[in-house]
Amino acid sequence: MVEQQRDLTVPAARDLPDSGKKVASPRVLVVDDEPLVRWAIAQTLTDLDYEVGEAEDAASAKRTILEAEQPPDLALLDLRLPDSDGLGLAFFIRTHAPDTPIVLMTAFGTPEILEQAAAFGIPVLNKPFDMSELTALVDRTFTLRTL
Amino acid sequence: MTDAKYRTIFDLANDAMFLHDARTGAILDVNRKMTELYGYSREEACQLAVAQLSADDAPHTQERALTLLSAAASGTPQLFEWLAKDRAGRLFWVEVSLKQVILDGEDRLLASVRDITERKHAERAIHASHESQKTLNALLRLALADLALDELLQRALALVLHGAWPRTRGVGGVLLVDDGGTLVLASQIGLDPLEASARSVGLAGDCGCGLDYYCTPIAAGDTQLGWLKVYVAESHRLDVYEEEFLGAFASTLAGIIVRKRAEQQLRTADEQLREQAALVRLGEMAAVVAHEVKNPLAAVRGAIQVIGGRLPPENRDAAVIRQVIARLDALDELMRDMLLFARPPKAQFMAVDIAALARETSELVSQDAGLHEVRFEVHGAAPAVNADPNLMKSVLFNLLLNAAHASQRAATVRTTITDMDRFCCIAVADAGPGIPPEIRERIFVPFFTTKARGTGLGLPTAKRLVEAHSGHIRVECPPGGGTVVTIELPRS
Repeated sequence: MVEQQRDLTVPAARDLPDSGKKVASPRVLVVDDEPLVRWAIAQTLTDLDYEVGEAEDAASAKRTILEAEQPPDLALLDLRLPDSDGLGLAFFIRTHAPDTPIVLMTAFGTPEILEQAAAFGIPVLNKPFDMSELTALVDRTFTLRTL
Repeated sequence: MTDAKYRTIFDLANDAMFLHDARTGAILDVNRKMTELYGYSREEACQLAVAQLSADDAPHTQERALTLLSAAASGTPQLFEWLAKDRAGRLFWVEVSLKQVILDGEDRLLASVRDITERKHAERAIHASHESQKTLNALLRLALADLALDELLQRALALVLHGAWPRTRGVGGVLLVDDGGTLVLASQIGLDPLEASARSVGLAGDCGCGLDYYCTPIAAGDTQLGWLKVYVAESHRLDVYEEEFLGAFASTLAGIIVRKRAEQQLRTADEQLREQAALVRLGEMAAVVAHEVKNPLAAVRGAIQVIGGRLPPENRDAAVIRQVIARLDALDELMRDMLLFARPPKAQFMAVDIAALARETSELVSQDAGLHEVRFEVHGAAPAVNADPNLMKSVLFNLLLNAAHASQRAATVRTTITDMDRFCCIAVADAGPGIPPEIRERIFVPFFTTKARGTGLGLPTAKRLVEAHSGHIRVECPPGGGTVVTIELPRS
């Protein structure tokens, strides 16, 4: 599914500091091994003028972040991925892209991991969720960030 | 032989001697030993009938004595035991040897009477010891059988009451001190329950035993476990052998009771452990199932919502898509119910005002569509309880919803909070049809339901969550109708 990934450098290039009037679309990275979940989120956020990149596992998510010119403006991560379980990927992003806010998605997180996420100030979306919950949470995260 | 010589020899005899008229049985003469044994003078004795020197109680009667005398008079010597009575009314056993003699040409009977009180005592002691050993052996065999304590006590009691010895009235009971320190009738045969309880009240002190029943303490070391109560046969005298036997029986029984109770405790602990292990496995399984179901659920729900969102609102398919999403949400709720039962979150304890929580939850339930006509009332109050408000809210929500579903339209569901000594008691009562006794035991079993659309997880979950609070939950259907579910939460 790597071919589904978008090149995150493209929107960044569009966002030239001297363009002045042009407001760049915020870029969101969605990491989930379920293509339907990625599709639904990508469709919803694209309709709201976000730029969405996708990754199907932790390895390709890390590569995307390391290879991008600029880190994503938001990372939406599934808690359980084929090659990563728990907060490993979240910690990687905290280290390599400390300014990128993270939102976790989980079908069933153990109370310990949810507590840990809360301790690090990472919001959690319980699967299945309504798309309005997702957009509300994403909007709130960006509002907080611009404040 | 001269009279004087006869007198001297007669009075020297070691046995009491009677000289009877062979025809009438009348006493003609007695020796000195007789006057010592019976306490009468010779002159007095010669005025007495045999009955007056006997227990005069079948078979030791005048009639029987005359039969024996006449048998001896016809030439057959008689040897028999007899229950005799002295001047003071004391009864004592004697052995009588009755022979025909001709004295001065007259037909006489000579009765030689020996006091055998000591021998009788020894015989009774041997008999008692033999019989007690038999009964105690039977009791020990009983202890080895795989019986519940109640059944064992009943059979042990039957051993004592229906055995060949001692002679009982077949009536008695075993009273045991229960966990709360109250003496309760644990087993009985032929006892009027009212009389049994009335009499048992005074057992520890003035119990009236020694009249027509024995009451023997059942004690293990310094611990008083209870009492064994045995009614003796009518007019039967209590004696030391029986008392000793009952003491030994009660001590053996005490040992058996202690062992049975320890076994029971072990078994209960074992069952609880096994149940806990089963619940842990169920929790692990539920976690996997939930994850494997919720993930595709999220995928389907998300995709279908996006597709539905692109349809114009007037499109007929948009309504279908809303229906699909509602079904998916119901499926998700089922997963959540299952997880709450199989893997309840760890309780986060804090001080909770139960009455306020009950009012809040009642409010929530009353907003449920279809329950508008049911009235919810909350009565009483109690000091704050140490509990997890979210979990207790789940419990109350379940109980109130069940009560509302069981109620008729426009009925009232009444929650009563009572402050007990160590517990806060929450009773949810409905005026529904009640629960048939045959299914009342199963309502806490997971997945058992009587509703057309129910998971059967509501009450089992309530029970698990209440038990996570070290509390108890029980269901009763009072004779007046309806159902009352009562929760007892420990104060701290």
